[in-house]
This record gives sequence, structure tokens and C-alpha cells, in this order.
Amino acid sequence: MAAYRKPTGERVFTVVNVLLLGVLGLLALYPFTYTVSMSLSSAAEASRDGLHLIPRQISVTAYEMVFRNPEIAAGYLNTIFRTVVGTLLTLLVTCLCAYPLSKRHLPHRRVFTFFILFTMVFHGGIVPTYLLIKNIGLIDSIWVYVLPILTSAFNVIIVKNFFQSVPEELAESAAIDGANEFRTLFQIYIPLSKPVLATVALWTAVMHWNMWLDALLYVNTEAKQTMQMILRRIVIENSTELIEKGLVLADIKTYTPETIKAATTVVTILPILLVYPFVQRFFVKGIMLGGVKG
Amino acid sequence: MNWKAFLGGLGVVAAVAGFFLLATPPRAETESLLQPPTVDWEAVHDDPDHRLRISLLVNNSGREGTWVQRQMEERFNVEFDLTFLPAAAHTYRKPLMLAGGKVPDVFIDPDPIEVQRDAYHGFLLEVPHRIILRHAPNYVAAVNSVEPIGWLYSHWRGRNYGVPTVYVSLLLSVPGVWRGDWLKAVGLHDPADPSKPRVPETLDQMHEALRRFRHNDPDGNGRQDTYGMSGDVTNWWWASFADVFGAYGVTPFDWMERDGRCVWGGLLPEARQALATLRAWYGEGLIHPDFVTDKSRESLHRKFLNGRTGYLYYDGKHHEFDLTIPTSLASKMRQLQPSAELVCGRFPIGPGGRRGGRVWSGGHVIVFGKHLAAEPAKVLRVLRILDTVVTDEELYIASKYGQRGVHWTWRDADLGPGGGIRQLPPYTDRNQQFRALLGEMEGGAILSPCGPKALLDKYTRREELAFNNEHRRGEWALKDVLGKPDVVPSAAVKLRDVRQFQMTVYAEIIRGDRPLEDFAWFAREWLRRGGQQMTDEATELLRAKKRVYRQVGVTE
Amino acid sequence: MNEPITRSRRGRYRRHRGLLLMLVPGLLFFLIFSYVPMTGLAIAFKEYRMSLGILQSPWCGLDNFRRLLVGGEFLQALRNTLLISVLRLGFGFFAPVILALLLNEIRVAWYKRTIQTLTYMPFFFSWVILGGILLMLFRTDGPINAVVKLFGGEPIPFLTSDGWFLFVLVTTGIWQTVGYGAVIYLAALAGINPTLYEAATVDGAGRWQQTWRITLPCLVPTMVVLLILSVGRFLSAGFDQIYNMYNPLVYDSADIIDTYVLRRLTSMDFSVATAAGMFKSVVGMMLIVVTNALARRASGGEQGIW
Repeated sequence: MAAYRKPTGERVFTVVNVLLLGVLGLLALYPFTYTVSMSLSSAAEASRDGLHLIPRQISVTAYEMVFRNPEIAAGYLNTIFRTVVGTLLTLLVTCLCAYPLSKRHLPHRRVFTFFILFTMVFHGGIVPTYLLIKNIGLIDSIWVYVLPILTSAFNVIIVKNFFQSVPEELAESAAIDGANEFRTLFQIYIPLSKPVLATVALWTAVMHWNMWLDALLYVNTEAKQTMQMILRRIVIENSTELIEKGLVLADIKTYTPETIKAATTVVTILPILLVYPFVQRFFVKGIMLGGVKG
Repeated sequence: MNWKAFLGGLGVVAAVAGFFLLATPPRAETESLLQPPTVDWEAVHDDPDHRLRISLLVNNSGREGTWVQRQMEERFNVEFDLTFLPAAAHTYRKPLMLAGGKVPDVFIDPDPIEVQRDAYHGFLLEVPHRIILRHAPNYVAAVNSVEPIGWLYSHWRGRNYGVPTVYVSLLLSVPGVWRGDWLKAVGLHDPADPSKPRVPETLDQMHEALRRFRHNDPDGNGRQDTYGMSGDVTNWWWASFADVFGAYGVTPFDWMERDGRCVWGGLLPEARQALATLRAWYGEGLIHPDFVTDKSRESLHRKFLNGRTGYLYYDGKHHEFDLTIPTSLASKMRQLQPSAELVCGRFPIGPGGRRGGRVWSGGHVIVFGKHLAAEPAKVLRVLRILDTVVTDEELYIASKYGQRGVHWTWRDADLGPGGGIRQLPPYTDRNQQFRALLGEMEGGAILSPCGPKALLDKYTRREELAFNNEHRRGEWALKDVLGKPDVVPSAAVKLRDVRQFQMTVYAEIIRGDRPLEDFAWFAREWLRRGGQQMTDEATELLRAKKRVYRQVGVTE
Repeated sequence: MNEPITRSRRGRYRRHRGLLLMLVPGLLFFLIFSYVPMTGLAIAFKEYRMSLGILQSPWCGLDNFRRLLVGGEFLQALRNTLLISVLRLGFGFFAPVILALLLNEIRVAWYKRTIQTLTYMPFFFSWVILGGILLMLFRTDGPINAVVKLFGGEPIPFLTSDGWFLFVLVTTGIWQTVGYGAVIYLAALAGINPTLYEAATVDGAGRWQQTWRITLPCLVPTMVVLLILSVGRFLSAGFDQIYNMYNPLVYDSADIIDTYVLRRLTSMDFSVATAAGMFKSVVGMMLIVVTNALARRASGGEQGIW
């Protein structure tokens, strides 16, 4: 292939694109720098007007205060458990659900699809859900983080859609070779759908990592709390909210609510940021197309 | 469209609906199920030697087996089964817990709305006034001496559902804080001592000070970037400009009494006058244009601490001037604006000679689960505990602060109680305090409510007492005539909506989006949107208040 | 393998028993954790008294729905929700697609990955933090207005005027989610066969034409699915963001159904809250059905969820 000079239009486009994305990236970076800076600010510094890119007065009291709570260690473990186990189970159940629905010859296909779709729109509300969880015995159990959100209609439909784009010939040739549906799913479809599965895994993992509502509603034992919930509790206990609710009278704060909020956020986000780049390789173009031969 | 499946689905829905229809009893039966049970209180005896097991809900996170818990258990021969509900979880988890069938023996409802809802949903036991008077007379006397309005909080549909608590510090008014250096910079000196600023005493003086803050460049930087003051919409009761409204003698988000009837403060002509003043002030640029966006005290402080505004209200408290506390206003100001000087403000006197600022009133309510009708001795035991705590000074302190030398000590060893109490590390940390079930002078975790004012004053620092007597006088504290605006029964449904409506209209009038003449329309609309019903109930409650006071021995 | 084609029902089930078996865990899950609590929607028609439980609380017919419509707040909230959702969908739907396409055009791998990670970051922050940051940035005397003044303009009341507030709401909402949304499109792009591009280059097609004729059509199925799923949540207009940023001067246009419901929930009025939730669900379902039908009609039965 002979080398050719790209037309000027394309070069301009590339430059503009790079700049535009760069600006977008910086804008997206800002909350992170702000939060890190805030978390390292002293009380007075936190009240200063400004963009807070770098703290002028550094203080680690916020972090000290946060880590003085030994429950955080247990909280971290619980969160890691729910993220890993929850994501794996979600992937499994979602694939199991999406694969049959992607086959046109499935009996009552539209009924099943509608059955699942309906749950995305209609919910009973927190009281009926709570009563169900209680009656099943999941209150205060670590599985309450995983089972009630095992999968969602959204994920199933997205994955189903991707499965539909895998060429039919592959499944047929596998069937001719004597493979049953399970093997076809696990040995052919899943390996080919790595990008979408990585997406679903990412969304699920982030959701699990950030989720605090189920810990708040369903878990009493402190040792089983998720890290997010513990951090949230720390933030609220040190904020002015309590005074307004009248649950605490003396508003002599030893710590500034803002720096604590920031510190807890950093503690939450840092692991994700460290892990995310490893997940990204699934989105590189062209890496997956090895197996699709005629 | 697959009709068979559709019909099948419909059939399932119909079956479920049918099941529900059959399972629901007729309304008459429901009403009878919800009737409060009758307890023959006269026949109930609480034997102190009989160990009782009481399940208690603590409205904070904590641990079992703390020193405080053991003290209370040993002293009163009780075994406490504690459930902890951190503040973060309170709003949602408490109703769910109750809905799921786990009703504690004793728990605390922070607001009258919660008491009413819990009673409405059938969770509470009625406890007649005479029983409380009989078994906790000292406690009742303490409550009545501080703030008897709390008795209205436990009152619903003619019955009493709990024991109110009080908070002494809520009796104190809270003035604002001025930038003393700005006052001097714009020429407002104390005539007696020119090195001191002249703190505005009247509304006109306040107006003048704010005007000069805006136009006379108090920070001397040559730019007109300073404002007089900003607002506060941190929570749902709108503390904005409370002292200006107070100068006209009105609390716009509370019930007030006029000619024996209740009216909503925000509809009164005095409120309109206050709005007119604020509107004029905004027009002159004295109020920060973003005054409605201050959703937290921190954001309000930011404007003040960074020299954008010169007056900050509702922070005139002793500890805010304390330079030894790193998070106080004075400390932060020292860091950010070293030349700044903070002085405590005074409530401006309005044209009618009125002055003051709005404060909260009353406290929480200790309530009992309905199932205690079968174990009424527990109620009597709790009443005895409350009574003992407010009379036994040592127990009072121990049940709140913990063990001397371990959890706390005197701030000044020579002064003893008069120097105030200080926490020992690691209990200076609020999380650690909660974990050890430590509280503060006005309330502990386990059935240890606030006591009479004399007791609190004894353990308050002299400087703070002097400060309060000078700046935070009780006579300047303006309160809701019913205590809390949401003590009115239909407030549960209507109040939040009309309050939002009022906040919007007020903000629009102040900013000039709406003409002042719209006030009459606003008053009518407020009544139409449910305000009328609430007003009628409020007036009814005013009468009930007299009856309740008589029953608990309050002489007005 | 030549099996006689059985038309009997049992034969069909037997033939596809593998598939049906696969569905069991999922269906069981939805049945237990979605459909069983769904029966609690009965609360919307009852005067719920918690100590009696859902079953034993008395009926009240359509009273709760009637209470929703009285007083006008709910209708106002509904109007606001519709407007905000339309704006969000209109502007926000294409943003992730465009971002994915732009990212796709970057040849330098490390730059692409860095930018992608960065754009994903705002999503991790709760609106409690982001709200605070934005309230600070968009203040009348804040940094953004400082830039406006630099260009000679008057400070804009971003946060306190109805129109500007919606602008801030929609733009920052998009900024928060664009990276998150782009991920799914990047996944789709990763699945495009590169030989298609090679053939197109040989045929002399430029980059723009390649994008128009190859990339976009490959993204359309995903876009359609996401669109249909989005309209199902049409009446949820971004509660967290609005709650943390709204203020009295914009209540009129920023009060949405969810903030209205929150006021019910904080006074434990579950009946009305459930009724409002049910209303949202019914509308959402109708929108999904309509959008799906439109998609099928427009694509000759190809696109759509079912």
C-alpha cells in the first residue's frame, strides 16, 4: 500500500478533535482535582473562595479522622466482596438470560422479553421490597448486596442485542458439530462478546462499588456494612444536618464537613481509578475479530 | 401482539387483585384494630427489684456494652436491648423497621410529624398525662420550667402518646455577626470609644451599615464587590433574614397568635412590611444576588469569610469567637482575612420597637410501642428513670458524659463545673462519642434527656454564660406559638408544599421578579392550597394547648 | 442430523429445552425480586397503615390519585419533568455517540485511553459533591461569570433564573454521564470488522464517508435499543442532581415528580408516593411500547426490542 498524504481537511479535523477531547478531559478532571485538594485542606482553606486546584494550607486531619474508624477495613472487604461476586454473578445470569432471548426460534420469545422489560418500569416501592427481603431472610445478610440486584432488564436487553449481531452460521455450525446450547453460549458467543460484557461488567461493578442504599435499608450489623455506607455515616455525623434534625445539639464541630466529604470521596474513588485502565483494553478496536471466519 | 399471552397476564393481575380484595377486611374492622388499647394503669406496679428487659432505639450509631449502658442498667435493674439507627439512616429505615414488625419498646421521635405518623400507623401506646405526673413529677416540673410547649408534640387527636423532652439552649436567641473592621472602615465608630465599631441597634442603623458596605468599599480594594449580607435556605424552615422579620415582630414560617386565633406568620401585614424592606435593600444591591443558593451554612460562611458580605446572621454563638477551636468562625477568619475583626451583632429594633430572631422550640418525644400495653410496668420503669436522671446530678452527668477521667474532665481544674466540661481524647471525635454512647449536657443516648436550666448553667463556662446573657437573651427569642409548625395534623400532607410555595414567592418578591402587591394574592393562594385547613387545626390546637397545660400542671 | 420437524407444542419445548433451561435462573430472579414486591402497588389504592400491613389496610379507591391532582403541585412537577426530560434526551442522547466517534478517530492509543478514563470520571462523583462544586462555579461572582465578564458581558444568573438553570442542569447532566454512556458505543465500535474499512479505503472513500456509511449504521441498533430503554425512564428527570442544586427561585421549573415524591416520603405518606410512582411507570411503559412500535415500523421489523 503506497503511503499517501492525508487531505488537509482530515488533518484539521484531527487537530480540532484532539483539542476538543483534551478540553473535555480537563473539564472532566476538575471535580477530581477539586476533591483531592479539598480533602487535604485545612478548615480555613476549605472555606476560601477559589478553584481549589492546590490547597494552600495542607492538613491531613480529614483523612486521620476517617481512618480512625476501624469499621472501614471491614467495610472495604464487604464492598470488594459484593463487587467481585456481584459482577460475576450478574454477568452469568445476564448471559444466561440474554442468549435464549436472542434466538428467534425460542418459543414465546416476545412474552419472555416483555416479562423482563416490564420489571424495568414497574416497581413495588421501598416498603414491599423491604418486606420481601425481610421475609426471605436476607436482612443483615451479606447476600442482600448481591441477590436482589442480580441482573436487570436493561443489561439483559443490551446483551441480547449484541448476541443478535453474532452471525447465525456460527451457532448452526456448532449445532452440527453436536454442541448443545450451553456450550455454544460459553464457547462461542461469550468470547465474541467481550466488549459488551466488559461494559456490563463495568457498569455493574461501579454500581456495586458506589451503592449505599441497600446497606442503609437492610443491614443493621456494623461489621457487614459496605464501605460507602460507613463513609456516608461519617460524613453525616460530622455535618450540620444532624443539628437541623435536632439529633445533636452542640454544633461545635471538630472537623469541617467539606473536607471530610472530600476525603471520603477520594477513599471511594481511588480504587476504581486504579482498576479502570485495566478494563479499558476490552474496548480497543479490532482485538476480538479473530474467530469470525466464514 | 400475542393476545393469548396478554390475556394470560391480565388473568394473573386479576387473580392477585382478587386475592388482595378478599384479604382486606372491611373498614370498620380496620378502625377497631387501630384503636389504642386500654390499660388499667391504676393496677400496674413496677417492682424495682424485678429486672426488666427493655428494647430501646438509639438515634445514633453506637455499640453495645458501653460504660454508660452498664451504669444505667445497674442503677435501674434493667437490661437494655439496644438497636442503633444512625442519623443517616433514620428517615428511611425507621418506618421500614416498624413496617416490618420490629417495634422497639421505647424510641424517640424527633418531630411532632413523626409522632403523629407513628400514631396514625398504629405503632404507639397512649400514656395519659396523670400517669406521667404521678411517676415522674420532677421530670415534668423540669420540662414545664423550660418549655412546656413540648406537651403538644406528644398530643394527637385528644390523646397523649409520649413524654416530651426539652433543650435549654434552644431558649436562647441567636444574633448575627458583623465585620467590625468594615464598620470602622466605613466610618461607623462607637461614639464612646472610636477604636471600637458601632454595632447597629436599629433597623435604620443596619440599613445604613449595609449600604455603606456595598457602596463605600469597606475592604478598600477599589472594586465594588462587597455586599451587605446573603440568605440561608439550608433547610426547610428558611432562616433567611430572620432578624429583619423579627424587627417587625413576625416569624414568617411559623404560627402566631392574633386575637386568640392562630395565623401563619408569613401572611401577616408585618411580613409584608419586612418583605418591602428586603425588596428595597435588594434593589440597592445590599443583598447578594445568589442569596437563594446558599443551601448550606458552609456556602453562606464562604461569602462572609472571603469578604463578600459583611454581616452574617444566626452565628452569634460563644464558640464561634473562640480562637482555640480551629473550625470556629474566628479561627477561619484569622487565616483567610487576618485584618478582620468579628463582633457579635444585636437584633435590630424595627419601627414598632420589636426585635428578635426565630428559634426552635421544645424538643423530641419519647414514645412507647403499642405492644407495651401487655407490659405496662416497663413504661413506669422508664418514667422513673427519667425522673431520677434530672434530679440526681451525678447520674445526670455520668449518663451523658461518661466517666470522669476516662471520657471527660473539667476544662479548668480549679473552677470545676463552672469552667465547663471537656472531652478527653479520643472522645473529642464525634464518631468516637457516638460509639461510646456519650452525649452532651442536653441529652444522652440512653433515656437521659435535658434537665432544668439551673443544672445546665451550673456546668457551663462562665464566659459563655456571660456572653449568652449579654447577646442571646431569651426575651429576643421568637418562637412558634405552637412550638413547631408541623405539630398541626394536616401539616404532614400540606406543609412542605406550601412552604416551598412561600419560599418561592418570597424570594421572587425580594429579588423584584414579582411586585409587592402580589402579597395579597400570595396570602389567598396559601390558604387555598391547604393553608386554611392547617390554620383551622392550628387554632384548635391553641385551645387544646390550654387543656393540656392544665392537665400537666402548667400555669400560664 | 435430519430430524422430522415436529409441530407439536411439546416437541418445540423439547427441542429448545436447553434455551428454556437457561432462562430459568433469570426468570426466577425477576419473579421473586421484581414481581412479588410489585404486588405492593396495591398500596396506591389503599389507605396504608403500617402496623396493619399491606393486606389489611383499608381500600380507598382512587383517592390517592385524586390527591395527586389536587393543588396543582403534582401537575406542575409533571410539566417540569416532561420539559427537562425532553431537553435531556434531545441534547443528551447523541452526546455519547459523538464522543465515542470522536474518540474512535484518535490514533494515538495512550491519548485515547487517557481521555476516555477522564471523561468517565465525573460519573463517580455523587451529586452531593458535584452540586456543591457547580453551585460554587456558577455563582454570580464565580469563575464562570468571571469569564463572561472578560468577554464583556453582564454576569448571568445561572442558578437563579428558570431558563439558565435548565441550561446548567442539562449541560452538566450531560457532562457527568457522557463518558459513561460512550462506553457502550465504544464496545459496539470494537466489534466492527476492520476489513470493511480496508475495502472502503481501497474503493476511495474518505474518513467522513467511512464514518457515515460503515460506523454509524453499525451503531444504529445499539442506539435504537438505548433510546427505547431511555424513554422507559422518561419521567425520572435526574433527581439527585436537581435536589442538590435547586433553590426557591427555580422551584417552579425544577420541581420534578421525584422531588414531589420525596416530600411525601419524608412525611411517611407512602400511599401517595406509590400512586405517583405508579403513574410514572404507566407512562413509561406506554412510551416504550410506542417507541418500540415506531422503531419496528421504520426499520421494517428489524429494530426494536421485541
